[in-house]
Amino acid sequence: MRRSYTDPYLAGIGVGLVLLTAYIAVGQGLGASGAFASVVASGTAAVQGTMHAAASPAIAPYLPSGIASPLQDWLVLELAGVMMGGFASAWLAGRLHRVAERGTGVSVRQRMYAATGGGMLMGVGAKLARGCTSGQALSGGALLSVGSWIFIASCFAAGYALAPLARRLWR
Amino acid sequence: MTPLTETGWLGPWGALVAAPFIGVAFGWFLERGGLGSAPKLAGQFYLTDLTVFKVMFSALVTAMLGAFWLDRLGVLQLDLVYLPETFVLPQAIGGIVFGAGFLVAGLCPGTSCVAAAAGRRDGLGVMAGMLIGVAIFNTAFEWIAPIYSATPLGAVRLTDLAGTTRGAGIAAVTVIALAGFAGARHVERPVHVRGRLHAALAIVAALLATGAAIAEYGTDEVISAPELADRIMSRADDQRIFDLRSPGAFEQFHIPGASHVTVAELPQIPLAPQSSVVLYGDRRRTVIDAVRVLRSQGHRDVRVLRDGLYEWLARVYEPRLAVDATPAERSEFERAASLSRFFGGVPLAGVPRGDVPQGYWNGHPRSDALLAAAAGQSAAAIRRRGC
Repeated sequence: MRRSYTDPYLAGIGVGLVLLTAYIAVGQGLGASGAFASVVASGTAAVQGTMHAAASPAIAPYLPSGIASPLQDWLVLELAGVMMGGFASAWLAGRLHRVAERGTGVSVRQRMYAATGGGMLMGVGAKLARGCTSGQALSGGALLSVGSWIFIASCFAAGYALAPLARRLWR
Repeated sequence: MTPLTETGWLGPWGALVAAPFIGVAFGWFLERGGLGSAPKLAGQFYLTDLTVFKVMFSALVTAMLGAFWLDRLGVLQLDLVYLPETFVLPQAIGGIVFGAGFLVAGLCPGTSCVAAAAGRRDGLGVMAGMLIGVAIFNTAFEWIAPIYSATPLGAVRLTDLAGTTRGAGIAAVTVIALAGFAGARHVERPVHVRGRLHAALAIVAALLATGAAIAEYGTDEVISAPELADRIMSRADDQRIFDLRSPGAFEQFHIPGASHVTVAELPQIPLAPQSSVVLYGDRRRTVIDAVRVLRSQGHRDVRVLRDGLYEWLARVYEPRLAVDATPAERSEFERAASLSRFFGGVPLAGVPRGDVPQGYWNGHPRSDALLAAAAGQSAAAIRRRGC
């Protein structure tokens, strides 16, 4: 049986308590995009060789020898946990479905292009902003970090400004 | 005392073991709230479904208020929690690019993982796109680098820029969030399912936020390290400096003329009402309490040494000049070096660029590794930032 979603405010308080636990346990917030950066850095090192990859200042911090390494490993394990938690919750609520969720006038192929293209933009944007909705907006925002609030403001401003152009995707 | 990793309770391996558990809980609540479904997230941008706003800001307010009060209660030392560094331009541009991607993808990086785990193929597509996007960024980094490191402000909070107390900033953010939640009821289809529960939660948040503002009211006056140095050199009468750290730390190193004191001892110290008082310590809570004690006794001129001993060491006691220093840095160093010699410190010229301490006074992110090194070499083992 498919259960309805939890009240968003209660789910939000749950996320907030998890974030607070992360501050208390490991002295840093939650994250997501950093794990993707770590995976790409390891992949680059595997393909091009560690020496070559480490020569890039964009990649070096994410390699095992790099300064950000423990943090990045932490994020990869945390994000693996996110997938397990998401799976468990969806399973127990009867929400496991092998579909591509999309707006009504959109084919699966179009949806997959949009998803991948949107992901690419977010990959570039998150790298530039040094974090995404988890690491920058949520974790930094709760600490009142100036850059986090700049990111929140520009992210949603762009989303709303461009929303009329993307209306067809979500009708 | 926490964070556990900072106080030695949890080593690097312990933190790695904790990571998946924290992740599971994070993913669980995201999925429970409906954030594993792209059309539901995209509804945020068309104001048909405000789940993203509700989940995100109730999480932000919960963590913000929780962290503040756990710090007040002495459970969590909030200044040891990693504060992301601010780079105005790249974060504004990055936010715009990210926002456009979020709109098109309907999922953000974290929620794409939840969607993928729940079987949504579009979630997998977003994850693949993220990897490609990061790879593009890395490949083009040579051209992006000037923007990436432009306009640094250091690890800085909104309240540092606004010159208010953190308590007041927290209260302001809570009020804005609660107003947004109230407004959300009118934007979406009005479904008042849990009206009473929501009202109760809002009242709790409002009380905690008001408490935060009151707890720190009137403690927003700061003084920079060079200003304090000038004051000490001008031998101003009626000036008192109090060190609120442990007696051991005080014995090892303290600012010349400072006397060691605890918050409990403060009321017994004979002090003229018109004296200027400067306080510093290594725990924000202690320093705030001390300011409040002095204020309640009618002292008006009570200031907190900004960034505590960290800024004192970096800018007065042990200023450093990089080999490749700019003329502006050179003249700042000349000034600092004379201060340093006056206070028996050691100005160091010609050090590698990486060994120069940074902070918002020189517009660069603070490096905690450098602080630890500076503290280890010169004075006491002063951790990260003081208060």
